[in-house]
Amino acid sequence: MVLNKTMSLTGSTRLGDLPVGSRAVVAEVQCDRAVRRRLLELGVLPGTSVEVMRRAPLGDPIELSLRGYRLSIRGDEAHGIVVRDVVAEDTRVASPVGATSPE
Amino acid sequence: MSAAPALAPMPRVHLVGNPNAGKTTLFNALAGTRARTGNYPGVTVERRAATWKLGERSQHAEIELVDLPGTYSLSARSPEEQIAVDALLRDRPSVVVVVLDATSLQRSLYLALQVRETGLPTVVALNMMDEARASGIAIDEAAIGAALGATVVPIVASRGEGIDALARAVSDAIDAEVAPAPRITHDAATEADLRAVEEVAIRTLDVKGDAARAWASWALLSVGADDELRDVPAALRAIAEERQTKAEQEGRDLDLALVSARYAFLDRLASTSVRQARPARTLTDRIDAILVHPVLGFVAFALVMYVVFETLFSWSDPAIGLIEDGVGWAQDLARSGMAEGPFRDLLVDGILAGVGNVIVFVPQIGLLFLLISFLEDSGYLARVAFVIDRVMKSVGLHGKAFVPLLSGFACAVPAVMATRTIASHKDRLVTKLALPLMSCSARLPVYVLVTGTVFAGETRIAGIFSVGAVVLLSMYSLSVVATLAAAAVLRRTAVRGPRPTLVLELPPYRMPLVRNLLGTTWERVRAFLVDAGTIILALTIVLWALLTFPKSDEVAVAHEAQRIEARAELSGEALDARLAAIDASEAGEQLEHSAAGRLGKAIEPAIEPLGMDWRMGVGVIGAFAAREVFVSTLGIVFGIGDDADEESTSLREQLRDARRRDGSKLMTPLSGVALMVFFVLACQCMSTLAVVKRESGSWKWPILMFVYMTVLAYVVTLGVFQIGRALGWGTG
Repeated sequence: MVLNKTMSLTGSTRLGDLPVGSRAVVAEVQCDRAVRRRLLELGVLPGTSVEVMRRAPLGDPIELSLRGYRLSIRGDEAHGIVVRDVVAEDTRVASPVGATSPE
Repeated sequence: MSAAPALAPMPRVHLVGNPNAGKTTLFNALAGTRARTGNYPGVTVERRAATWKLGERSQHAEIELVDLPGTYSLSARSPEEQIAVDALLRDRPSVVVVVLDATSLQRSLYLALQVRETGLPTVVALNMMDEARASGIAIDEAAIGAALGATVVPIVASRGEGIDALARAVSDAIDAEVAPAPRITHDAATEADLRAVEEVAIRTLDVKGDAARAWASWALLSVGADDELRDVPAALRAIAEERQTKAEQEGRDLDLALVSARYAFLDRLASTSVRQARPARTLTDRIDAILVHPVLGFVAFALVMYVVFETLFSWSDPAIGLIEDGVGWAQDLARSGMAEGPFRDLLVDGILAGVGNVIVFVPQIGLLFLLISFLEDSGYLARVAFVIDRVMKSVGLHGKAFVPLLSGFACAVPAVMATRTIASHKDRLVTKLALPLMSCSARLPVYVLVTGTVFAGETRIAGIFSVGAVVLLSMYSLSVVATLAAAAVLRRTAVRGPRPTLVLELPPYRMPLVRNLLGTTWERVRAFLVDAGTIILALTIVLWALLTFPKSDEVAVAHEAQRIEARAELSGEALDARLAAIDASEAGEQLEHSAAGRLGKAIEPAIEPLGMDWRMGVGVIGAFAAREVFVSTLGIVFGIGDDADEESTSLREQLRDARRRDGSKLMTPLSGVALMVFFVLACQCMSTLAVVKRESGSWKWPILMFVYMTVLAYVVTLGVFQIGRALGWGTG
C-alpha cells in the first residue's frame, strides 16, 4: 500500500506526502501564524477537499485544486497540512460538486 | 440651491478585487485613458484614480474612482496590505465595487463578504461571466445579492459587457439606504472576543455599528507580535492581543474560528446559488500538461527566458542606438550653434548628456514591461515562479524573483522595476537590493578592455580556452554567486522577516488585452521618466561639474601656445593630427586638475592596495554615470581623447605601458583581474540608485545598497590583489 509510508510518526497524513492525483480532506492546518492565516483565508480550512494536481518539475512546490481554483504552495507548507479521507487517483470517481465534505 | 450641487463632494467609489480577477481591465474600461497615478504615502504601492463619467446614466455625472491594490482578504500584516482596509474603514467611500472572478466564487466571495461586513454600500461585479458560462457554472446572482446585501452585476470587463448595468447599480447604491451587514454566526467565546474589541474600536476610532464590528474582526485576525501595521490605536492593539492570548490559554483557535465562520456562511450560500455541471479548466490543464511538464516545462521555460533575455540584451539595441545617435546629433547641433564656453559645456555635456542617460533606458524598460505584462496577464508568470521556485527558495527568494534577476544580466534599471511582480514587500526588497550584483551589459566593455590589455596573448588553457574567455566566464559566475549570497545574507540581516513562503494562485490561462499591456507599460515608463529620470539628470550634471571644474588656466595657456606653434610649423593632415593630440592632452591635464581628478588622487592611498592608481580612481568616479564610461574616462586621463572605446588599441597600449609612481607596471594580469572583480561587485551606477529610490520609496535602501556593495567590492578586491601579490601570481 503506497500510503503507508506517508504516515508520519504521529500517525497523521500530511498533504505534502500525498502522491499526485490523490484527493483528501483538510483536517488541520499547522503552519506559522502568518502563513496559516493566509492559507485559511484562501479557503484551506478543515473540511475543505483538496486534490494534488501536480508537482513542479523540480519536485517542489506542488499545485492544489480546491474551491474551484488552483493554489501552489511549497512542500514546507504542505507538510503542515494534516489531511484525512485520502482517496488515491485510481479509485477516484467523477469529482463531486461543492467545496466541503460533510463533517 | 442652484449653486449648491457644484460644491457637493464628488461621490467616491473604491474598486477592490482578487489578483487575476480582471480588476485592472475593469478600471481601464471605466476610466478610459483618464487614469491618474500617484503613490500611497509611505508605501511604494501605486495609487490609481480616475474620474468615471456616468453621464446620462445617472444623476451623478462624475464619480471619483479609486483602484485599490489586488488582495484576497482585508486582513493585513504589513503597511501595504493595510492600504485596502484603510481605504474602506477610514476613508468610507460612497460605494465599494468588488470585482470577483465568476469561475472561482467558492473562494473569491470571501473578499466580498469582508467588504460587506464594513457596512459600506457594495456592488459585486461578477467578472468573466463568459468563461463561467462556458465551463457550465450557473450562478444565482439574486440569491448571492440577497445574502450579502449587495447588488450583483454579471460583467465581461474585457468586452465591456455589463458596464452600463454596473454604472446604474453604482449610481443607485450611492442614493439608496445601505443594507445592514450580513450576520455571521460565531460561537459564544468568539462572539465575546469580538464584542470586547468592538467596544474599544467604538471608543478609539469613533465608529459604530457594522464598522465597529469590522474593525474588531480585522484587529483580531491582523494584529500580532511581528506585524508592521501603522496607526492602529494602542488600546485597540492591546485589547486584540489580550483576547488572542486569552483564546490561546483556553485552547481556542481564534484565527480559525473567525475565518471558518465566514466560510461556513459562504459555503451554505454557494451550495444553493453556485452550480457547476462539469469540472472546469480543461484548456488550462491541457496547456499546463506541456508548460509545467517535468521535461517539456523546462524547454518552454528556457525558451521564454531566452526571449526575455534577448529582448533586453540585443533586441532593444536598435532603439538604444537611435536614441544615442539622436542625443549625439543634438549635442553636435548645440556645439556648432553656440559660442564656446561653460554654458555650452553645461548644455552639451551636462543637460543633453543627462537627458540621454535617462531616455536611453526607455527601450529596455518598455520592452521588458510589455513582455512581463503579457506573461503576467496570460497566467504564465505564475508558472515561471512555480517551475523555478525550488531553485530560488534555496537562497531565500521567491520564485517570482527569477525574471528580475535574469533581467539583471542586461541592466539593473529595468530589472529593479520588474520586481513589482513580487507580492511580498520583503521578498521584493531583497531582490531589488541583490540584483545589481548581476553582471550587467555595461560591465562588459570594462571586461573587454581589461582582458584585451592584459590577456591579449595566445595562451590557452588546456589548449582550447583562451585565458580571456575563462576570466570573463569567471566574472559572470562571480556575479551570480555574489547575487545569491547577498540575497541570502540580506534576508537574515537588513530585511529580516518571517520565513519566506510561496502561496501563489495559478490562474487559468487567458489571452491578455493589448490595451492593458500598453497601459501598464506606459505607466512604468512614465514613472521612470518622471521620478528616476529627474534624479539621473541631476546626478549627470553634478558628475559633469566634478569632471570639468575647476579648470586650470595654466594648462589652457600652455596648450594654446602649443597650438600656435603647431599651426606655424605644420599644415594639412599633419596639423589636424597634431591639434587633435594637443586637444587630448589638454583634456587629460584639465581632468587631472578637476575636482574628480583631485578626488582620484585623494583616494589613491585607499585604492592602491587594490592595484589601482589615481587614474583608475578618476575612471571609477566617472563610471558612476554608467560603468562603460570608465573606458572613455580612462581615454581622457591617458590623453588619447574622449572617443576611446574598449577595442581601442591605443588605449590598450597606453595601459600596458602605464607605470605606477614606483615604476612598476600598472596593468598586470593580477591588477586587471582585481579591477574586474571590483567592477562586478561595486555599485558603480547612479541610475540603479535612482531607480531603487523610486521603487522603494526612500533613500534608505539605495544608500544601504551603495554602502554594502562598495564595502563588498573593496574587501574582495583587496583580498584578490593582496593574496595574489603575496603568492607572486600575475604580477609581471
